[in-house]
Amino acid sequence: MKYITYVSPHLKSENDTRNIMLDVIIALAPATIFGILVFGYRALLTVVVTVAAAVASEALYCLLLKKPLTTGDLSAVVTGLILALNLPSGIPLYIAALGSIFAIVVAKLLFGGLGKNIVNPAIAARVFLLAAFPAAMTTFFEPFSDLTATATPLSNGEYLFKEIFFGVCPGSIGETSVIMLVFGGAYLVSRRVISLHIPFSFILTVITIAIIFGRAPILEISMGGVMLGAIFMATDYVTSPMTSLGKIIFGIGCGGITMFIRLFASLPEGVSYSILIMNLLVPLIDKLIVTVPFGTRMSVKGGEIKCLVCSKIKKLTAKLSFARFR
Amino acid sequence: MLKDKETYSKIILCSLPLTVVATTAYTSILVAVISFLAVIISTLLVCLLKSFLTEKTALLAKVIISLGVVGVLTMTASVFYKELTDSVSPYLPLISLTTVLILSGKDTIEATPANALKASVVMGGVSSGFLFVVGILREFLGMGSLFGIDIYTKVFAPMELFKNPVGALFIAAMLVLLYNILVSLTGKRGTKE
Repeated sequence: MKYITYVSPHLKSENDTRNIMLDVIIALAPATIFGILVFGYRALLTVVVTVAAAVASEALYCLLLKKPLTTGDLSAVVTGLILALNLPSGIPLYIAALGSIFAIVVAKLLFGGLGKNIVNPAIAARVFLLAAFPAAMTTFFEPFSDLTATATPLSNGEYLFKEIFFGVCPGSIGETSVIMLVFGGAYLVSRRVISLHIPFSFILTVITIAIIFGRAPILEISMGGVMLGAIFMATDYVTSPMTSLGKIIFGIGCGGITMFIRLFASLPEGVSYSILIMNLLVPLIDKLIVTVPFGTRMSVKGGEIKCLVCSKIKKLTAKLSFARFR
Repeated sequence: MLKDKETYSKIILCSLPLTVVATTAYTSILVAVISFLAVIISTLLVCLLKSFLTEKTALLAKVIISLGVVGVLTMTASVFYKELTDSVSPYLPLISLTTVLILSGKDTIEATPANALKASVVMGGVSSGFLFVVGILREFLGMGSLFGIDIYTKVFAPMELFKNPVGALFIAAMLVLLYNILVSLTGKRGTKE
C-alpha cells in the first residue's frame, strides 16, 4: 500500500484576506446605509468617490511599479469605506479623493503594502485631511437637511440623548449611529473576525474616565467616533497587537488618550489621534508581551521578561555544544 | 551627484530646521541665499583662523563666526529687501544653526582653504537648492500660489497643512523619498549596464 504524505499545514482555513475584508464590508453596511439615509445624496457621493479613488490609486500604483495587482483582496475598498464614514457628508469630493489616495499610496503602499503598514491607512488619511483642510473637515450638515450645522454634539451642540444615540445629529457619515455600528461589530464578533478585547477595553476606559471626571459616560461613547474607532479602526489586524493582553493594553491606551484629548486638549475629538499614537506603540507592546509556551513559567530579570524554560534550554544547548568541541 | 548619498543626507538633515522658515518662494530664496553665503564665508574664515583654534575652541569659534556672518548678511539684505528680511530676521538663529551644523566636523579645520571653499560651495548649494524647492512646494500647496501669483485657489482649497512647520517636514520627507527612488533607479541602470 502506498501512502501519500504532505508537508504541514494540513488544514487550510477559508478565512483569507478577501473573505475577512468582505465580512468587514458587510459589517460596515448598516452604518453606511444609515449615514446615506440621514445625510442624503452627498453622503452617497462621498462613499462612492472615496472607494473608487482608493481602488483606482492602488491599481495605478501596482501598474506603474509593475507589481502584482492587489485590489482583489478588497482591502482598498475597506480603507476607502472606513475613510468615507469618517468624513462629513458635505466635504468637497476632490478632498475625499485626495484622502483616499493619501491612505492607499502614502500610508499603505509606500510602507510595502497590506501587512507592512505601521498605522491604519484610513486614520492616517483622516488626520492628514484634518490638518490640510480643517474648515472642510469640520463643516457638518444637519440630518435630513441642506443646512450646515453650527456645532456637533461634541463641540457644545445642544442635542437630546435620543438624537445622539440614534444618530440623528450632525457628524461624520458613519459615526453617528451607535446601534448600526454595534450591529456591525456583533456580526464581526460572530464571524470571529475580531475579538472583544480591544473594543471592550477601549469603551470601558472611556466610560471609567468619563465617570471619574463627571461626564455622562453613555454620551461620551455615543458622541464622536468612539464606537466606529473601537469596533472598526482599532481592531485592524495589521496595526493592533497580537496577544490578548497586548490588545487590552492597546484598547486602554486608545480610550485613555481619547479622553485626555477630549478633556484637556483644544480639540473636541481625539479618537483618530489616539488610535494613531497607539498604532505606533504596537511593536513595543508586542515586544514586551511575550507569549508563554504551554507548561512554562515567566520571570522578570533586569527589566526584561524571560521565559525560564527557554533560558534553561539555551544554557543546556550551550553546555552541550561546548562539551562536544572539548 | 547621486553617488555620495550619506553626505547629501547629512546636508539635508542639517537644513531641516531652515525649511520651517521657507514658507514662500521669495522667503526661501532669501533664506537660501543668506545660508549659502553664510556657509561659504564662515568656512573660509574658519579655515583662515585654524592656526589659532584648538579642538576645544573650534565649535565656539564656528558658532560665533556663523552668527556674525549671518547677522552681517541679513543687515545687508535688509537694505535692499526690507520687508522680506524683516519677516526672516526672527529666524536668524536657525540660519546660524544650519551653518554651524554644516560646518561641524573636523574637515573644515583640517582642509586647505581651496578645498574647504570647494566643499562649502557644494554643501551650501545642495542646502540652498533643497530650501528653494521646499519653499516653492509649500507656497504652491499651502497657499495655492507661486511667487505671489494665484494659481488655483478659486477652484480648489489649498492645503493649510503646508503653511505650518509640519508641512515643511512632510515635503522634506517626500523629497527624500523621491531622492531614494532616483538613487535606486540610477543604481539599477548601472548594474544592468
